[in-house]
Amino acid sequence: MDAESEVTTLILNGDFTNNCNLYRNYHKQFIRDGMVNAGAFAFEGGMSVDWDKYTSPDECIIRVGLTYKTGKTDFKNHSDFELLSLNVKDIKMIEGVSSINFTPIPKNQEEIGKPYNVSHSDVWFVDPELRLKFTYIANKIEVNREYIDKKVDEIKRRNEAIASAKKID
Amino acid sequence: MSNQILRLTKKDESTDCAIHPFAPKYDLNENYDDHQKFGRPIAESTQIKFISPSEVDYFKIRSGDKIELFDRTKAFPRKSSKGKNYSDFWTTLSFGYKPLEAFNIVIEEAKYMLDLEEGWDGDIASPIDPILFNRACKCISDYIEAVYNDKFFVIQSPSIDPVGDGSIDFTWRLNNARMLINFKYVQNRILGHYYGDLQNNEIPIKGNVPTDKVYEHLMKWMQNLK
Repeated sequence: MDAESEVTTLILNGDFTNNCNLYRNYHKQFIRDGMVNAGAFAFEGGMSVDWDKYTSPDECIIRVGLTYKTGKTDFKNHSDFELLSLNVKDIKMIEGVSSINFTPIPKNQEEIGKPYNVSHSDVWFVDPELRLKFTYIANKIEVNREYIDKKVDEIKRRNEAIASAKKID
Repeated sequence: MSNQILRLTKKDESTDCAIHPFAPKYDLNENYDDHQKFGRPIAESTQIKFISPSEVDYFKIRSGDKIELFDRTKAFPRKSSKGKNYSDFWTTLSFGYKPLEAFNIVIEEAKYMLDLEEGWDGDIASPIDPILFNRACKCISDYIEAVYNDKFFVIQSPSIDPVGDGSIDFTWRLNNARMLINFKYVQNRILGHYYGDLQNNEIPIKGNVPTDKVYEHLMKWMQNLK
């Protein structure tokens, strides 16, 4: 871990304490030789993460399975996704991280392919090369695959039933 | 001619011998007035390639010049009397040691990424452009060779990984140093954006370089990737 001094210019929009963890999901393609590579922390106008204060690791992967691929109407395959944990204290020590923002997606904005997410947050950093430093502070999180598969199927079926009922009405 | 060789030999003894792989093998106290070649092997081995007087002369004149580092590290294409192409004098001097051997294996393994289709990250990832891949690999190869030519060691090979935006990461994660160079198109030009430090943020380096040639400041820093 970096022994850098804590960056005082980091802006926290949310009650993120040093004990908090942020979950980041990533595709299995970003694993090489058992290690996650820097591509897993791609900068897409902020790096999307989930705050552990409001979610569990299993729920993170469940949401992946309920999310459409960008610009498409087919769901992501949650079996291909893994989960990492980033400690807020460690993130604060990385020079160049400008802010951590709590940006929940409320339930009233939920729609099929875009599940609500009360834990959604963004990490903003200036240099994309800082992705390299994230690989050093990331810890892999194990999830209950069996439970996740069951839950994703259940919710999808329920959503389909609701959509069918709406059409009939 | 022998006087000239003697002069250059003395100069080389104080400047180049530290990195000259053959220096310890030669008797530098030889009386060169009586010889038409630079020194002579102290113990001839089957592993040591005998260097003809003309080749030594060529090398010594070049090494005695005040030339830019970039010129030194680049190839001096020429043909030997046997018609064999010599692309680099250090390679010739080092028993045919290939500094890119390990990296070429990594490149071969990384070619899988050229088959990745759009959405390979389970979402909207772009495919990897073969030209970008080739240019990026060539660029890193040039730096590995440049370090080898400058310091006579081969830096560790990076891992090569695709990124969702279609760019390519070259990553070194070593005990003493780490570096990431990300190659991507910027206004129809390929640039390598790099960041590196000696862990704990010591001696950090960041910036970007085009892929057209070896830039000395980056090459010097990459010598930490030993």
